[in-house]
Amino acid sequence: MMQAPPISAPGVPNLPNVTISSIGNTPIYMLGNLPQKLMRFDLVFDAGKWAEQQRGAAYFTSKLLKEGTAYQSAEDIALWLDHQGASITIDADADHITLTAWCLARHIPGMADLLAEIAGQPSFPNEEVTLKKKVRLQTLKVDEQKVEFLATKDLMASVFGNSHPYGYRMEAADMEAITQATLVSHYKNHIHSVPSWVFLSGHVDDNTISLLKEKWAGTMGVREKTITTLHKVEPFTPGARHRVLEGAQQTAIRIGRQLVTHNHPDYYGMKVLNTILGGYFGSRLMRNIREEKGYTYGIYSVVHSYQHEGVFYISTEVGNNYAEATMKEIRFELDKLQSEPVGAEELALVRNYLLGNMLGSLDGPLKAMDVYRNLITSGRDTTGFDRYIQTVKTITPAELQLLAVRYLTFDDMAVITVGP
Amino acid sequence: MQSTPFQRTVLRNGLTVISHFDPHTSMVVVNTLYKAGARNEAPKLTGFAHLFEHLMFGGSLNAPHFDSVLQQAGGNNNAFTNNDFTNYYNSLPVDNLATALWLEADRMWQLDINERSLSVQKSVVVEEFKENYLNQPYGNAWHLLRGMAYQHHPYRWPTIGLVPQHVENASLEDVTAFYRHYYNPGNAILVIAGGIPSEEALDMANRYFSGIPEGKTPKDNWPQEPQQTSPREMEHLNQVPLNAVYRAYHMDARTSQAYYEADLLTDVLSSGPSSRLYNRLVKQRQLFTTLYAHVTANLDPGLLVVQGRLNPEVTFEAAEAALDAELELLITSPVSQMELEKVLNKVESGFAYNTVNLMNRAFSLAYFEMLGDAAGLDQEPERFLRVSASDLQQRAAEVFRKENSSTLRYLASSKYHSTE
Repeated sequence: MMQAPPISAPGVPNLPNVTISSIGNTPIYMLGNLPQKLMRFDLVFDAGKWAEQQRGAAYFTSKLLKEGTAYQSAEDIALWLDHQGASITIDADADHITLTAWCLARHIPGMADLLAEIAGQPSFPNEEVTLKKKVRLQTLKVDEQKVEFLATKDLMASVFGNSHPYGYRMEAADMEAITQATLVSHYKNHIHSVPSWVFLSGHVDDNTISLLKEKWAGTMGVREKTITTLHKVEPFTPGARHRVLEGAQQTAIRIGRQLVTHNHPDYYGMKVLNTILGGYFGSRLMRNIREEKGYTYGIYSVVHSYQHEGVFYISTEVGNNYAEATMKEIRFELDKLQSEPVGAEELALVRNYLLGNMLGSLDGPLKAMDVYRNLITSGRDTTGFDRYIQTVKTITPAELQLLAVRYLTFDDMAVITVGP
Repeated sequence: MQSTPFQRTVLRNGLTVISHFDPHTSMVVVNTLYKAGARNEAPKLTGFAHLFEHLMFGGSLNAPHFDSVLQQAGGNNNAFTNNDFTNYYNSLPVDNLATALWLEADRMWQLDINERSLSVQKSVVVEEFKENYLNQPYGNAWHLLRGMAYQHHPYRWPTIGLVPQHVENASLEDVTAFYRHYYNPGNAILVIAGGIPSEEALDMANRYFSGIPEGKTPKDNWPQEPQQTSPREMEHLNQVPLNAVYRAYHMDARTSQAYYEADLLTDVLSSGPSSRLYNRLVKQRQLFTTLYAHVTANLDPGLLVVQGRLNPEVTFEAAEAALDAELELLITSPVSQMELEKVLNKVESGFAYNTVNLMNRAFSLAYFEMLGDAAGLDQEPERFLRVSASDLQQRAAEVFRKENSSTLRYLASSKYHSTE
């Protein structure tokens, strides 16, 4: 019978060289050399939930930004996009609004004009605002029937506080209170035709940058950075909270706490520790609670840093009669990481897995730009990447155990359940 | 149009091996497609093919831990099952290609099927059943819709299974028989795509797979669905906040030219923000909050389905009348030159976007080989481009007949109440 082939440790991943330019105060980053003749724009604005003066402003501004400009209706824009086989999606998250546009290379000039118009002169027509609110309200009703939605909502409120921009999820009242004026204000203060960053990737080169500078001159202007409120998180109280959803056939469990942010010396170590605990299919949580016990279809853990705060949590949906047992096993796995150093073999596997994963994530200009954009827009630079790789390669079992002791105590966490 | 060059060989045991060289990547994807899906199941043992997919990760004679070996090699992997086939894919650095081939060959030939693994995966699949279907609003809609549209053909049950009990009833004998019948080289297509020259890849495949003995796959012997001769409808009450409607029409199999016409009809109806259903019934008349049409794309004759959630205060009568009018319009009026051009542009650009991703290319080659010839992948655009406006009209007249329809009215229970 065939022997197992020898395994080569994955090579060290490297960030590709990104071309850096600028227009006004906005840096432009570019990664070219895609053989397929298409490209992607990402325009990122510091206009997320953190910057809001009113709940839901970031979300609805992002969803209405392309629903009409000074020159075109939402239908005009939709028709042009569909006809060119292009697309624009605009999303808001905790810190940013990101506009992502895809088009074939031959449509770059037209797309550049459209982006300047959308970023520079959106009109937020009243009928479009009304419609979006109505549709979003209906979606919320459906979401509120899902254990996973309610559990994540309750977790974030527990970790950051309900009045913190990272801690709230929109309620019906928030949606109803949105007006055209809300969006105009949010736009004027935080978007106003000036992205904080622009990322170009795909079939692009220096000519693309020259074209954009030409087309965007005078539109992508210079704007003073708006000072936003510094939001403080509420003091965090660990402990259990249960929400009833009648008729639920599973129980959603979220266990979490505040954590450090990107630039903290513990951050990348926690990323590695998190992988071991619940960050891949071979993790402690998956092996125990899914593969050994069959309690769930999936269990995982997350270490995430927003710009101003960090969070750690464990997430799963389990059969109702397994909820207690699952809680016990989660506690067991956390305790184990605190009391026993990770074995050499397991650590070696996780190192290889993470490095291989990163190699895959950097494969080609489109994927590599995702990694790069993540770094830059979170307030880091390429040294962040180097630190991550170094940590993956060199962190020791003793260091991991120290981190577990510091951050992974079950009783230091909020324990959220949603079930029947 | 970017082409996807490949080389093909068929081993003596019947395994089809396809290799696609991409010099721009240092990754490789190993994709194994087995022609075993839910349609191959016995009516009392539904959900079996999907359960079996889970068992394929339970370890084989020489590789007791599939996942951890692949992770050690810096790889990622997953799989999915549908009514027609099951697909397994691995992505890893090209230096470790041999590892992926060794793993796939070993589990094709000598999967370790045991009571323990079966017992755990049954439990996991039952939780998946709950998580994705039983515990989701509208989660059983496709169970009901399929059961109405198909009275004889195995497409009448969904891949997850008709009921969890079927999954729970699976025995070791059933599993072993399924493996022997469907998981043999003659019933599989292996694709190796990435940074490895084709000659070398085919050579390696030969080395790892040619030793696997030939198998014997039973002939297809399920009942074909007789032509539907009168409209079918059903009402179902459940714990959801909004009424919804699901409308299914029978259509032709994936390989027919009629399929392309039906697919384009759904594009006219709901591809992109300028599409008819969205603009007219969601935006302008606000009868629905969401509404879209798509095709199931099956090897045997499939379905064209329109589904949507009604706005509160809108009756089923009004919503369905509006929908019927839109479908009728496709029969009575040819689409304009501009609109046809638009949907064809979107299809063409869609292909360009899809070819960027290596995993997509690998899977697509396997999929089209299953349809008859991997070369069909690059011929796809042409099959769409040859469709004329009158072809669309004729297809609409054939598909959108009342006698060809099944309608599920999903009613919001009056017992529904908010969680606040």
